[in-house]
Amino acid sequence: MKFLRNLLDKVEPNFIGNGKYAKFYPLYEMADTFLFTPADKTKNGPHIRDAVDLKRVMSFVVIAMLPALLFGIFNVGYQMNPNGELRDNFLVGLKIVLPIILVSYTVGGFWEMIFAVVRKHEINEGFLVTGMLIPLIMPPTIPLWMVALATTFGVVIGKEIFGGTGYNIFNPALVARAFIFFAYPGAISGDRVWTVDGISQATPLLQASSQQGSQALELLGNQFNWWDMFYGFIPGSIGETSTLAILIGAAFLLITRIGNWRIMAGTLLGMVLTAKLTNVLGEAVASSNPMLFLPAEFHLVMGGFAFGLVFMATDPVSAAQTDRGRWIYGLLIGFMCVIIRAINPAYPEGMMLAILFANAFSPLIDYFVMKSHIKQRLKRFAA
Amino acid sequence: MADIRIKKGHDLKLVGKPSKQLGAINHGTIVRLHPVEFPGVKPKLLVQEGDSVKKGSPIFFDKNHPEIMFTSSAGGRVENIVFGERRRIEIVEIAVDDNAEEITFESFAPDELSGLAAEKIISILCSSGLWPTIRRRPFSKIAEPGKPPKSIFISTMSTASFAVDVEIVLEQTPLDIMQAGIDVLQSLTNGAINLVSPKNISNSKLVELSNVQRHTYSGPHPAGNVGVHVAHIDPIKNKDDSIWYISLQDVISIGKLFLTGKVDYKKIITVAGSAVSEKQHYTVNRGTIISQILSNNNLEAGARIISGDVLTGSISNMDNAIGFYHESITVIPNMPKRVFMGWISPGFSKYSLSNTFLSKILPKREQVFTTSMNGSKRAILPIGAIEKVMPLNILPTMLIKSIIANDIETMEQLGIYECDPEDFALCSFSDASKMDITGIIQDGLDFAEAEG
Repeated sequence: MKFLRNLLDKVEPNFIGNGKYAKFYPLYEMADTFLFTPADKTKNGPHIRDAVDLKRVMSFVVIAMLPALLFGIFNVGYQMNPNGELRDNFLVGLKIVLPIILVSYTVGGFWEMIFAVVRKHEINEGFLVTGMLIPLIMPPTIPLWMVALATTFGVVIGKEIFGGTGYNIFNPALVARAFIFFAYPGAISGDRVWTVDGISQATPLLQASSQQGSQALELLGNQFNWWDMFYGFIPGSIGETSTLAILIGAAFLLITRIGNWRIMAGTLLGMVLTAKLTNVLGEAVASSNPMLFLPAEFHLVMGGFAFGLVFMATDPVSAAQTDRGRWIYGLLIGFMCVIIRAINPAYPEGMMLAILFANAFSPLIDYFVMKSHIKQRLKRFAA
Repeated sequence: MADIRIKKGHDLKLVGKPSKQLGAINHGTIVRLHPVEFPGVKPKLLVQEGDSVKKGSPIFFDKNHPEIMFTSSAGGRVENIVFGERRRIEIVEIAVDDNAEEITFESFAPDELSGLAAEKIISILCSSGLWPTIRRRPFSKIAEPGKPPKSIFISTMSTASFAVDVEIVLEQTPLDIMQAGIDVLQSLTNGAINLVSPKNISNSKLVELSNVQRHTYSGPHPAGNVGVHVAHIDPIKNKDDSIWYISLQDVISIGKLFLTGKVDYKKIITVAGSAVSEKQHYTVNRGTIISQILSNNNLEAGARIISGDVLTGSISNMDNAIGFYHESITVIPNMPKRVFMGWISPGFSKYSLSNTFLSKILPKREQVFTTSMNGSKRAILPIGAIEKVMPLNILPTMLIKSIIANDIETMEQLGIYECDPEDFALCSFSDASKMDITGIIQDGLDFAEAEG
């Protein structure tokens, strides 16, 4: 360690002041503070600071995604060969998933660096999370150039043009997915993209949405039962299939208090209530739309709902930022997700659009929460 | 009378608590005044280098309020006047002569005090140099003599780390002196004198005081902050609203002045922190320089000397006097260790309000803190950590954003005038983005005072 420290101290003069590579200070800062806790001292009160920093917060979010990632890697192999050995399935999956992760981190990191150098600010750890989210919400068959393009779009258009981490309106990873969804719909929807060997294999959501009326569940049950979907042995985007693995990550985020429980609870509640509503509605009008009959517990384990709830909706920057606002924001996501799934059969995957929709509304939600807070303050003074 | 329990906040568990022992420190050979420590004051000197001064002589006054004098805590000769940038007066140094005379003021019998005219009280307090002990909210500046406040707050509780033990102050002070100080203050407002004390206090003197509204508070820091008390008892509604506040020790000084006609510059302070050897209470004179206060003490090499407490105090050094408003000298290590890959360490010995270190599940122990930032400055990331230590009815994230955007209207509606940087110190402490939240609040107050 001493050697590394000495090396860093030796090259530091090149990166500061009139040093040869002063422009690339963000790179040095990144390496330096990655390897050793920063040397910065407090300049005024408070003279002491909490041990937590953004590096730790962001890397903990990545840790929370690991169960979903590991299961996702395995499941990619499993979908190709359900009878294969666990180890073989994992290795097959690794060969497909690892390049996607590498492309996402490399391309995203490249843009982060460019913007950090041009804007003369430090490289933000937020990309650790975005760079992992993007692969997890891609189908395993996604071409690597498309990952690169989508990552570029997500980072540059989704984040940097708004001013960088902390200023973005939308979740950059979802912007990346939305980009592919609208630019190359064939690569991310339909029944041909979820398994690598070309066998057409629709996701449970797609299957359900193509059934007739209230028999949706019976027909669905022939192929996938609830527990399969809960454990995650189903086709789908790499990280989204296993509700169990995602819930482990959720527990980690809640215990460490990095993920906001109000957003998670709000989203879940919004989904359950809206699903109940559509169920009643479906019965009442004797609709032939199968998605109206899907019970809440199936919404939970199908498609990207759980993944979006735990890892996307909780992005503190694009979510509402007041406690009451977080409830409303969550409820809106849960509501919109079910509505999109049920009312618009063309988009059986409602979660992505629901979250992007709520992202767009979160400043407005905060605005109204703030207004009501101000009103309540005035009332206190009047009393 | 209110009895309020604060839930949001945190009591820092730090190594270096002061013992209850009370020592005395002589004022030494020089005393100093630092005009820069009074925000908003434009100092105008009344002395030159070489002038002899008496104990209690005015040294400078505020150009904005020429009646407010700042006086010398010891007699002697003006040795040195140090100017900073743009001829800002930074230090006035006085070489102490123990045989110098002392300025005296009119004295009164205890029963005369309640009937005194406000003008007379103001005139005595201003010329004696004790007026600056009374400050106002909003803005935490010296009270304006001509504008009576809606009420006055006396805090006998400080929940800050290493604060002076109020029981020691009460033990040392006769009841009639405290009562005299309160009677004097009562003439300055048509409203109440709000005396806020900790819920569990064994000394009964506070209960015996008359002419006050007693309130008790409990809970973690910042339960002892004036801003928190004001918010519940008599909240600041707008810019023109004002309350005054003063510490118990200063009330005692005022009581002594009116009963004896002399200014007693003594106050009880603590010396504490993990980088200093003799941690205890001391009686010192105002203006005493820190090297004198720490003369019997061993300091860790390079340690940071803080005048005040570890959250809100200011960086000082051996040659400075203890701050006018400060009741602690805190000394902490100033050599942050650069830990290898610290961001991913399990953190058995890390101190954090977040739940991201394993130390959270271990029994709570007192910790040594250095001046390390423990991270680099980043963009605002609202994960709800700062809301957990904000007991005021304020939306901190929204307020901070409105201040950064210079949005004066929203700032006012969100209650900037109820805020003081000290109430946000724990927010700065716990923020993972390492934002200077207390600095932002101060900027907001400055902006609102100038433009609002």
